[in-house]
Order: sequence, then structure tokens, then C-alpha cells
Amino acid sequence: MKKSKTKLKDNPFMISCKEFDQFIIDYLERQLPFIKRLIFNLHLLLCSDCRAYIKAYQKSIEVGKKYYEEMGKETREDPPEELLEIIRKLKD
Amino acid sequence: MFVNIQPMSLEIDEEKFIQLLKDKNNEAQTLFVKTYYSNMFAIAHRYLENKEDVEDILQESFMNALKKIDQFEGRSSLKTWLTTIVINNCLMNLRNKKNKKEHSIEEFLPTFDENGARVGEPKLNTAKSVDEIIHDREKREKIKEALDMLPTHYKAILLLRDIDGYSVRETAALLELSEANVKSKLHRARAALKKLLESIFKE
Repeated sequence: MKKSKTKLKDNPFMISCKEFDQFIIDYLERQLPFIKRLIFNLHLLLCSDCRAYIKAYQKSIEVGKKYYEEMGKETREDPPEELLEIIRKLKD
Repeated sequence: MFVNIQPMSLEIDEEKFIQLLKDKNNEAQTLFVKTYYSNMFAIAHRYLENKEDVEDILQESFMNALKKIDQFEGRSSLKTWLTTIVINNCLMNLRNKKNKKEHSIEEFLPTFDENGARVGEPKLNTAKSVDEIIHDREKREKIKEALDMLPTHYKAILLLRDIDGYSVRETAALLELSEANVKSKLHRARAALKKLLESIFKE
């Protein structure tokens, strides 16, 4: 958020990108109190850098999820005979 | 006693199946391992790179589960309960392991100027669907590399919360950390992942 930095700093509803960054986790966990959420959304509305950032941040999480989901689908591992043997020998 | 249990009946009659496990029915125990092994292997392999480590952890986990089956109260599915045992054992293995040389998470975190404005953020194209990205072999390789570059502890938090779906509170309990600490580390892990995945969004 590069424009009018000094003017914005004096406004209690305006935060810097750095402060915005610290709100992200609570925002995504839906734990931001109402006023903070308002401040967060206002920054998001005004700052294209943070809009692009959070979009890529969320997309990265989705990509990670999908990657492991696909890996899980492709994993075909049978239990080793050694383990099955141990299980077969289990007693009460 | 011969009990004919087909894999499908495990889904349908889980309660009955659990009772057979509690009765130490050996066929049920074998079926339990055969049914869940592959799935648990995939989960453990996210946390542990080495295949032998995964096999050791799974052996330990299945044995733990069968020993502790009497403590299973049915508050979750059998699979969820087993998953927690597997993940707990993976985390214990990670804790006990001598740390390999890892990147510092700081290398991958966003930077800000003296006014707190973002600096050094490249223009990224996030328009491609996740499916498109995942099915591109080259990008998939880059995703693997990115995930492997995450420091182990941060990767574990990311896996627990974002992949395995534990809440922040549950993640904190599993890792014996405060919720605030988990949130802070989770944010750093996600930010680092974003940084490490930038190359796949640039093309």
C-alpha cells in the first residue's frame, strides 16, 4: 500500500501491509473481531498488493491440499508380510 | 472361530468390527491392517520422507492401535482414531530425529519497507485452476520441491491444519504448543509455501 502513507497512518481504520499481514491468520480462521475485520477488509479494498498476496497465499494452500490428495490417491502400499505375520501371531 | 468379514462390511458394520477387534479376533486384526495400511502409508509419508521410517512408524502404530483398542470409545470413526495414532507417532519420530540441515523459514517470509508496505512481491498469475496446475508434471515436481524445502516443524503444522484438517486447538494439543504459537507458525508456513510456489504462478 504505497500511496498517501503519512495521511493513512493517522487514520485509526487504516493499517499498513505489515499490520494486515498479522491479521491474515485470524481472518482465515474467522477469529477476527468485527472492527478488526472491517479494518482488514478496508485495507484489502484499497491495497492491490495485499489483494494479490492473499490470493496467491490461499491458492498455495489449495495447491498443497490437492497435491497431497492426489499423492494419497496414487499411493498403493500393501502391508509388509513381516507386519502381517506379527499380527497373525498376536495373542490375547 | 471363522468369521467371514468382507472389506465392505467394515464400512457398514464398523461397530461390529470394532467389537471383533476388542475380542482380539485375529482375522479382524489382519483385516484392520490390510484395510487401512495404504491410506495410513500416504498420511505418514507426508510427514516422513524416508520409506523405511514410514514402515516402522506404521508397524508401531498398528500395534499401538490393536493394543489400545479397548480405549476406543467410538467418538470418532476408527479410521480417524487410527490416523491420530499414526500422526502422533510421526511427530514423535520427527521430534526425536536429529535435525537435518534445513532452510530458515525467514528466507521465505514477505518483506516490508520502513512504512510497512509490501516490497519484492512479484506479479503472479493465479488464474489457473488447481486441477490444471496439479496435472502439469513439471509444476507438480516444483510443488514437491517446495514442500520438501519447508522446515520440518513448519511443514508438520501446515500438514496438520491444512491437509489433515485438525483445528488450531487440536494441532496445538498434538504438538504441545500454545494456540497462539500454532497460529503464528501456521501463518509463517503458509507464507513460506506461497513464496516457494511463486514459480508455478509465474508461467
